[in-house]
Amino acid sequence: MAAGSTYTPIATTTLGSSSTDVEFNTISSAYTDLVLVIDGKDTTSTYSPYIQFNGDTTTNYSITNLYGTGSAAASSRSSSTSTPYLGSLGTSRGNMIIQIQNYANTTTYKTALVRINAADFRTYASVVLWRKSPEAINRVNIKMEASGNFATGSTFTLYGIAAA
Amino acid sequence: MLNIIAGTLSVGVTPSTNSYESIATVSVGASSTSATVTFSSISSAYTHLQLRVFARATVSDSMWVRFNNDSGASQYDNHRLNGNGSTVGADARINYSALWVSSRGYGIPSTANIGSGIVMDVLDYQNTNKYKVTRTLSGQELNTSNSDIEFTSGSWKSTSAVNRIDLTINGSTFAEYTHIALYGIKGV
Repeated sequence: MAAGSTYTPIATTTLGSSSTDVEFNTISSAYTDLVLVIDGKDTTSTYSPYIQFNGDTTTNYSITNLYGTGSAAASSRSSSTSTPYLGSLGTSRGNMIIQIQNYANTTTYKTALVRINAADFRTYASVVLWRKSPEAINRVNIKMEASGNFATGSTFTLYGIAAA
Repeated sequence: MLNIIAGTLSVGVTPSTNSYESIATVSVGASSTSATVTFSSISSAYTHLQLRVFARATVSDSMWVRFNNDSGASQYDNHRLNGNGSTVGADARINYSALWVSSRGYGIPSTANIGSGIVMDVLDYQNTNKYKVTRTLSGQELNTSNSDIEFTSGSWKSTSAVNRIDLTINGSTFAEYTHIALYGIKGV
């Protein structure tokens, strides 16, 4: 079997001031999967980020999530939305890991798995579908829900994983 | 993997570039199907294994995972927690013949252009002093109420080192554009 080193850092952003939108663009198609690791918080409340691919602002997204509040478990979903809300990072600090499978293929819609660990608020798992006519993902935006902001010091790191 | 993350996000840790390696990949081509995806003769050079899957099925159903070609009737345990967009479910399948993935909801989808995302970690796969434990996050989003997100824990009740992994779909086959990759994660 072939073996090759992978899980390569592509880019990292550390916010010097609060922001509503963090963008990774001109993403190479040299990998098989993307992994986006976010560590941060909202500046004021438990607003939720959402994800956007290739600048598509239409209702090509859908999402199903599962979360625990500390006293109950619940599941919700949104179909045909332009804002697939992933869940809050909390107000003290949380992390989010987004796995974007097979992002560069041009034959299928794109599926992403999301885990959020917001210890002061909730824990989440979600699956997101992007249904635009199949095209490679070359741009990822993480945007905060209206009125929310990613806090100064929040970090965003994008990795690429290449299959043999 | 953790070294890379720590090295990037923290101070004082040198990023490692060779602790996460691609071992092998299986892709199902256009208009093709595959009944079983097998990774055999898996190297013992790693500490953990990770399967990263984009799976489609000819008929929607659960994905099964077996180690070392062991299909013994009671060799595997599973616990599952899922959400389908409106309700949360949890159950167990104890003493089964395989690990079950994407099994609480709609299953691996057969819908055109759509596949399940699956990440399964096989921890300490070479340890011959204990049973092997897996953790899996899987999901299929279909823009309908058939969607599902699921956590699964699994156990293969054998002390043998894992050297082979077989993946199948219950009563079905992997459909075109399925992509399954095996990675090895090194320890120190």
